Amino acid sequence: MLDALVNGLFILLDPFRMLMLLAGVVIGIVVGILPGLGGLMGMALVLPFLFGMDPYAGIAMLIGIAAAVPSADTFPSVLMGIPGSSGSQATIMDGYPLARQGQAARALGAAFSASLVGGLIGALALTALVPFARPIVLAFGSPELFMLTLLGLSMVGVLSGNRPLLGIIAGVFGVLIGTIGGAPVAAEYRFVFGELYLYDGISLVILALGLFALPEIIDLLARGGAIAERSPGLGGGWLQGVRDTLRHKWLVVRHSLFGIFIGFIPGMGSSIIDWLNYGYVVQTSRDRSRFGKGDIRGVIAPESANNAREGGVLMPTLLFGVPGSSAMALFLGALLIFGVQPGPQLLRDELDLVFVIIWSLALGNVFGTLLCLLLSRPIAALTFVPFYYLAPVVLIIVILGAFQETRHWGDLLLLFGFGLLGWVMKRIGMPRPPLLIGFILSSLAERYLWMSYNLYDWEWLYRPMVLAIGGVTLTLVIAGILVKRRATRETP
Amino acid sequence: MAPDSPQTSLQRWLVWLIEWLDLLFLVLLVPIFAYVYWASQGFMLGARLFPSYVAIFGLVLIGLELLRRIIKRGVVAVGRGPATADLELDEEQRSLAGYGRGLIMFAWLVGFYGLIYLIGLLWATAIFVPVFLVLQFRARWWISLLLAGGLMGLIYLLHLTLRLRWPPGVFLN
Repeated sequence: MLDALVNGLFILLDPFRMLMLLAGVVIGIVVGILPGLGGLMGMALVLPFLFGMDPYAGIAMLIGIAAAVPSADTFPSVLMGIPGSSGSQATIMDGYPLARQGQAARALGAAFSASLVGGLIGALALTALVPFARPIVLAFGSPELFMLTLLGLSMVGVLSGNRPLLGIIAGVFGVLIGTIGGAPVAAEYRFVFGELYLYDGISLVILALGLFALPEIIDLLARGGAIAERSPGLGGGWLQGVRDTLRHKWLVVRHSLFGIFIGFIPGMGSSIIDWLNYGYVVQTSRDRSRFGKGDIRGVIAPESANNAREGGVLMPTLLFGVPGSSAMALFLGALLIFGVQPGPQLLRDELDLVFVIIWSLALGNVFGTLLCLLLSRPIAALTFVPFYYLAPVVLIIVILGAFQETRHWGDLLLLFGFGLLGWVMKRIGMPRPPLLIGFILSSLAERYLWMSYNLYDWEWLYRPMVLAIGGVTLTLVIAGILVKRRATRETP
Repeated sequence: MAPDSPQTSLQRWLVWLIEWLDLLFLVLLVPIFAYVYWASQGFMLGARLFPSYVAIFGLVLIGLELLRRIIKRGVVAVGRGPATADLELDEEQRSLAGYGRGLIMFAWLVGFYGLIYLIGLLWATAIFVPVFLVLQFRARWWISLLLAGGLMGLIYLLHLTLRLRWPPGVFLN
């Protein structure tokens, strides 16, 4: 295990891989600052360009994006009172009042240092879990893995929208889209309508770009204008912010652990974690009078939890092949593109890669924080660029990326179709992440189901672990609905 | 009261459509799921098992959601609760005007697609970007031209370095 840990670091220290990690961090910062463009969008944008790339470099780049977004999305939250992503909504509560009091630099300093510590704790927790989880995960057979994919799907469906049933329907719809093309366990082409283009199935890249990137571009263009209209000024007090984090070190540790725990449960979105942590710090503080008016603890708690969460969401993704979040669903898809099978096989055969991911997460957090601190002024200036100047750049990358799939006009037509679908789903309140996750899990679930059926007929349903996971699924779904209701109530 | 003008009737119809769009979307899913189930029955067992059960499950869920809507008598529970990936849309964006602005952007995209089809992505970018920015957003023309030039350079650079191909046009490649 220690060998793999050290090997992972040396593999990552290759200059090209480090460059890709850094590039991922820079992309993560840019998409983190622009509201609506989160980690998922960032990953979707770079995914088409990763084909043929060294898998370690590609994976480092994706993790770099995931690590940097929770830090960078703090800029608009603190400076403008606009969440950079859904995971930085609670930071506004105290970050923005601090900025209005001329203490933006202090709030950002505290947020970035708390994010750094949180991110490192997340990576550490993931490292600590691997030796314990490995024997358990290796004991799982196809029936248990099938049940785990169901667990992931149901949790994401339940938790990712305001109407749980709609979320699960979206997930099931995604599963069906995933069945288009050649069947994974039989020599049969399904739902291709004689179109050669569909024989290989729908591309993950096109689905992700269409569902998430196009609707955001359209909505941001339709809204018009820049993110911020006037310069709020950063002021001074960076070191004061760092000192605040050190002064509240146990708060950082507590909320990081809380963030990891919640992140481990698939579907617990960053916004839920954000608000739960904010509610938690308010409830457990003796002096609550300053919350909402500029209490630095209201910045530190959600920010440390947000970055630590990335370690948490990677746990089910890597160990069981069940994506912990929508961005992780795309990461899972990227792993499959690179020929890496998450779950028991990954832990058994490619432990080095697991540690490359963990090191990337840790270093990505360090680079992300350093870049945010060092380049805070130009990064803040990016929020004053009208989005219509940025939109053509993003749109060209999206179209160019989608076209690399098969270099067929069908790529562009599907991109447009999924874009329209995503835009409508966004408007009718039907969550899009479950559709993407259902699509990615479709072929895995079908393989596991077929293997279980072939080996045990329907007897596999009575296996103790299958029943246990079924019970856990039911419990978590019910608990998830309750937690979500609570988080919704706490949303001001 | 004055009789409704045709425009008002159209607007009212569109508002009604927007209000019921989620229900319409669900109803549209029913034939899709039913088709999947029906078409699956012609496949061999290995290819049939999974989509059949998923389609049945999906139909049951849609039935439950429709039942819930009937019981709640069409109350739409779009709340302010947090979602996983989306920043919540505000009410204005869900309004008829908000839909209209979004559809105008889609129309521009269709135009861009048309240009790509005719002259390929590289030259379509050269025309579309300045025209779109200047006509739609009253952007400064020199910034728009600079941006278009920069984007053409980016496309060409990606082609040279990563061997990426851009969509060719019927008349220009």
